Formats: sequence, C-alpha cells, structure tokens
Amino acid sequence: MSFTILAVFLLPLVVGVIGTVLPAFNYLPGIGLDSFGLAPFKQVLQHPSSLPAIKLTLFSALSASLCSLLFACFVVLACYQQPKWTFIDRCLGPLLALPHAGFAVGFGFLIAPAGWLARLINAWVMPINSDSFYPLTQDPHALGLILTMIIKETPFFVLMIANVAKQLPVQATLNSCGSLGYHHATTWVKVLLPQIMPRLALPFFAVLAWSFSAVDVATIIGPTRPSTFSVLILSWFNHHDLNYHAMGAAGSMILMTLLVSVIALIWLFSKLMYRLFFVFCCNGKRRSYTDRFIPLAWPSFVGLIAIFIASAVILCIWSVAQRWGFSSPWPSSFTAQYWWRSWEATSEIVIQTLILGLMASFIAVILNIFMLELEAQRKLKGTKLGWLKRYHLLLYLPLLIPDIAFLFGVQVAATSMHIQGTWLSVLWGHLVFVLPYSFLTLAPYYRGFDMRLWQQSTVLGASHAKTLLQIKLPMLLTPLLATFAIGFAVSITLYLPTLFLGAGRINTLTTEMVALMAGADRRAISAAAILQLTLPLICFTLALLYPMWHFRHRSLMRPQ
Amino acid sequence: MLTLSNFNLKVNQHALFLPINIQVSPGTICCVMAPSGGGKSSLLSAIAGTLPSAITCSGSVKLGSTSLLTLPTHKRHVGLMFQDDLLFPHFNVAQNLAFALPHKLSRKEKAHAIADALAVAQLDGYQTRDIATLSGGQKARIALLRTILAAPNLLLLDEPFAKLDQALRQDFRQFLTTQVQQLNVPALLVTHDPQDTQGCQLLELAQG
Repeated sequence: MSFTILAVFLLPLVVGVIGTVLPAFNYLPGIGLDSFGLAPFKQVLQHPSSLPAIKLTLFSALSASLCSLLFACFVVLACYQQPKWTFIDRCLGPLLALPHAGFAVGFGFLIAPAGWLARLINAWVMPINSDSFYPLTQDPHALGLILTMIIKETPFFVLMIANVAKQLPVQATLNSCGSLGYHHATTWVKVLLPQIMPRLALPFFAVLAWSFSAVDVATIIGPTRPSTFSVLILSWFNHHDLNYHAMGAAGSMILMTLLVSVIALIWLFSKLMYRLFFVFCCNGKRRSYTDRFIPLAWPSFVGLIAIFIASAVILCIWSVAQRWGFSSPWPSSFTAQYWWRSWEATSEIVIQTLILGLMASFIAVILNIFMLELEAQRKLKGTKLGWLKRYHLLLYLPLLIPDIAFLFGVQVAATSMHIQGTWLSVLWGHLVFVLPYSFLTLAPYYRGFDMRLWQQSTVLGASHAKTLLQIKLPMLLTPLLATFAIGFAVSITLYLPTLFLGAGRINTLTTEMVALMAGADRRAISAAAILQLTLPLICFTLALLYPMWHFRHRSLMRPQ
Repeated sequence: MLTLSNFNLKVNQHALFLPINIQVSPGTICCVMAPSGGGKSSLLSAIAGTLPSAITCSGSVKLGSTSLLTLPTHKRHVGLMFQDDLLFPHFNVAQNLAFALPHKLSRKEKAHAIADALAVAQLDGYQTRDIATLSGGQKARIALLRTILAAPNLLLLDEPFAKLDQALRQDFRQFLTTQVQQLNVPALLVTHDPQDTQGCQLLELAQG
C-alpha cells in the first residue's frame, strides 16, 4: 500500500526524465524526430547565448546558495538562544511562507534604477540621475537575482540550522568551551557548526537545485540578454518552431548534468576539507575573526526583514498609484481602479490557485500521516522499518532534480494520455513538490509523539482508529496545521509545474504574474504580487492562531 | 481468576525470569517484586498486549476461561496504569474519563458516571479542569479512575506510587485497595516498596 503511494508519485518522475532524455538524443516521433543522434546537443552548444547563460547560472546559483548558507550560520551563531532569538524564530515561518516570485517583484521595484530607493534618495538626499546607477535588476551579472535569492533562502537555512541545533546540547557545549576560554562565536565555529554541517547537505543541495532551475524569479529580476540557462531552455520549449523542443530537452540534460557534477564536486570537496578543518578547530586559539563581526549579525537580520517589509509596501503603493513621476518619492495621485480591473481578471485565477493549493496540501498531509503512522507502528512493535527508513530520501528526489529536466517529459506523456491541462495532472505536479516539504515539516513532531499515550489509549479499550483520531492527531493539531500552511505556500510558489501541466487552462497567481511581467503594467503586476504574497500569509496566520485559541484552556498544549 | 501457567519471557532465547505459575483471585492484589531490569514491566506489557516484538512470551495467561495472549490489545479489557499518569493533555478531566467509558452509554449516563467517580476520589467538580492545573496526587487518582471506568477484567499497575510522596502514597494505596475490592477483579501491582506488599499475595520474579 505505502509502496504503491510512493510509486504513483515517483513513476511519472521517471517517465518524465526518460521523456526528456529521448528528445535530447533527437528522438521525438511526435514531431518527426526518429533517428538517435547528438544533433540537439550540438545545436545547444552552437547557440550564441548558451555558454554565457550557463556561466551566469553557475555563478548566480553557487554564489547565492553559499552566501545564504554563510549568512544563516552567522545569524544563528550570533543570536541562537539569545533574547533576540524568540523574535527571529517567530519571523521565520512567515518569511518562508512568502513566495519567491511575489517578493522578487517587490524587491525589483525597490532597487531598480528608477525604483523606490532611487526616488527616495533623489527626493531627500541628493538629486541623482538614474542612468548613472549600476542597474540591479536585469543586470548582466545577475547581481539583483543573486541578492533576491540570498534574501529569500537565508531564513530557510536559519530554520534548518536551528532544527539541527535543537538536537545538540548547545548550552552545555557553550558553557564547557567557555570555561576553557573559548569565545562563544569561536565555540560555534569550531565545535557546533562542524557537527551541524554534515546534516545540512540535503537542504543545501535542494536550494542549489532550486537556484539552478528557478525560472520565475530569473524572469522577473534576472538578466535578459543573455538570461540564465533555465530561462533560455524554457524559451526553447515555448518556441513555435517544434524543432527547438529537442534543443530544450538537450539543454535540460546539460543543466541536470551540471547540477549533478556540481553537487558531486561540493560533496567531495567538503569530505576532503572536513578532516582538514579539524586541524583548524584544534589549533587551540580561543578567539577567531568571526568574533569581531558578531555585533553585525543582528542589524543585518533586521535589515533583511526591513527589505521584506519595504518590498511589500512598495507593491501596495504601486498597486494604487495613478501618476508617479520619477523625481517624487510618492505617487502624485492614487486610484483603486486597477484593483477592481485586476480583480475582474484574476478572481477566477485566485480561486484556481486556492483550490489547487488547498487540495495539494491537504492530500500531502494525509499521505504523510499515513507514512509516518506506518513507521510509528513498526517502531512500536519493534519490527524492521525496511525501505521506510529510506522513504524520505526517495521523497526528496524531485527536489534534487531541476524541475525543467522532467516536466517536459511528463508534459509529453500527459499529452499522449490526454490528461494535460486537467486538475489531475496539475495536482500531481504540485504534490511532487508539496509532499517532501510537508514531510520535512511534519516528521520531527510526528516522530516526537510520546507513544506511551498511544498504548495507554489502547489498553483503555480504544481501537487504533479511535486512538489516531481522538488522541494522536488532535494532540498534533499545531504541527499538522503548520504543515498544511507550508504545503499551501509551496503550492502557491510553484511555477513550472503549473505552466507545463496546466496547458494554459489551469493558471495560478504565479503563472499569471510572470505572464504580466511581459506587459510591464506595474499596477496589475503589483496587484497580482500582493495577492500571491497574502494568500500564504493568511493561511499561515490562521494555522498559527487557531491552535492557540483551540488550546486556550490547555496550558500543556500551548507551544513553549 | 487470573491464572498464569508456565509463563515466561525471552529476549534472544535468554529467559528474563524462571517460569511463573500463579493464581490471583478477584478483588485481591498480587504484588510483583524483582530487581531492576528483572522483567516486571515486560510482564505487564505482555499481559496487556503492548510487548515489542523483540521479546517473545510462552506459557499461558488465562482470565477466567479466556486466553489473553492471542487477543489484540484493545480487546483484552486489561487496565494498565503506568508510573507516569499519561493523561491526555488536550482533554480536560471529564474528557479524559469519558474516553475510557463504554461507547454505549448515553451522554447523561457518562456525566453521571464521571461525577460519581470524581466524588469517590474526593475531586468533586473537577470535570472541566485543565490537566496542567492538577497536583501529582490528583493526576494519579484521575489516571486510576480512568483505568477503572473502562471496566477492565484485570488491573495491572506499574509502580503507580513511584512519583508520590509518603503521605500521598498512604492515601492512594487505601484508595486503590478499596477500588479493587469494589471492582472485584484481580490486580497485579509492580512495586519496589516493601510497605505496599503488606497483606498482599506476593510474586517474586526469580532470576534464571
């Protein structure tokens, strides 16, 4: 049963990869390619944009992932278990729930050459000529894209590091190393982080894979000529000349090969460096350079949050701006008509987004409960876990493959089965990504449930079903709702799965927003971005507040 | 009448204690004593049906004429009370007790049964109290009431006094003895305290 569930999700993935590999080797009978060969690869490599695009992708993805990981380490080592930590911890959920694309739109409006920042400086500090700026959006070195990814991925890494740190005796380590004369930042660098890092491999590679293939964010704020490689590949897939599809497939194979080799290299390098790093750890120096930068960590995290807030504010301003000349810091006149106009156009899309998100996250929660309960029962009886032990690794597979490398193949398969553009196929496309993130959120809480309470319930005569429905699940209400909210947020964020499998018939706010970027009507884009940002935020707030109200008379059930 | 004949527990072919042969009459308590790690808790788990599969049991456990070992946990009607109270923190006192009551009772009958039970334990009016606000002794009494309200045919108590201080222990022991007599079922009580064993049948698990 459990194996069937997994197969249902992973089989299309395998079909998708095969369905992309074959066209890459010039085999796609549907459009008349039926002789195997390397022609598509040759075409890709001969294309003038390919090489610069590949370089941009490598540079932006690597620097963004590494910088956000370092930044997150820095924030954790300076603030973990300090009074400020409660604040940081509370911010993480909402920050993670915000979709990348909507944030990228707002952030773009903030830092663009004629953006809000430039307007504010122009009005209040000194008159400037916007042309004299280095353009931070659509800039040739992808700096705007890198900044966006760093800001958006740092909170994720902070959460991941903190989750691992929770399982370590952090305070005891800091105390004992402190008594040996180590500064607390040095203790983190030399003792705690080396224990944490090996367990961050999977989240790190997932972020790297995402940065490699993030099409929506790269379209919104990334460089255009040349663009990043994934955007280029998508343009080939969307080309009216069907021969370009084989090029797209070959491009995705190159992208996947690059990603796999980069992951392998980093993994190998970190294995080699890990032992070498111990020499540094044991050199006996009680202080290190990091200690001096500690006071900077808190202000920079606050700055990060300020950027999120400013991006949201500028979206709100643009969505109601009627006339706004460059020299003024505010629009000279306001109007709500764009909201009404955009509501007429997008209300159906909002409903589709909601249905898709709610269904995907609900199904994901149910399936994960099923898998985790199976695991819990086997543990309770002391039977072998078997393949369940590796279950999560299989689930994470879709996160480690660039989505563009299997979605085309899935699309081809879906078209031949006449299910392209149906709810079923789009829902599957969303679940592939919602399921692992939902598992990631739920698993620690589900596994932490005190199974003696389960036994207590069964010896009182309650059946397994009754125990699950009346004892275990109600006690896990808070994490279950949080998991639901995370799943919903992930579904809202998804771009390519909806694009490839929705066939234009099913659209979400994300696909709508990226489509609007081409039109450059800032008011319509802002309205769509605000909607995209608020939906997950509302869901997240409700998921946070409802358990607090529900358990208002149960002090043991309230989160500590 | 609870009858254990030739009952034994094994981990990797290694017996935890010598085979047990004992009979416990309804309304009486049999105290089980053994050194730490002597298999006391495993004995109770085996009878209640919550034994991990690494431990195998042999022999027979009969309650009246029914053999328990082949039944699933929730059909054995064995009340097991642990050292920790294990009250459900998302329920209030009344909900915790109602969970144990038979399904067929009406809402009114349940409320009556709960009120009566609380009165017996001198906890009148505690129905809507949050578990977090109870003292250790109160929690222990509620947990025992919950076990009893499930109308078990056999009571198993795994060091229920361990977390209580001396004065509370005396009270609770009295309460327990009365309850077992009223319920008129056999009871097994695992304990370390020689005071608990006074006037009881005694079962010492001998090491093999």
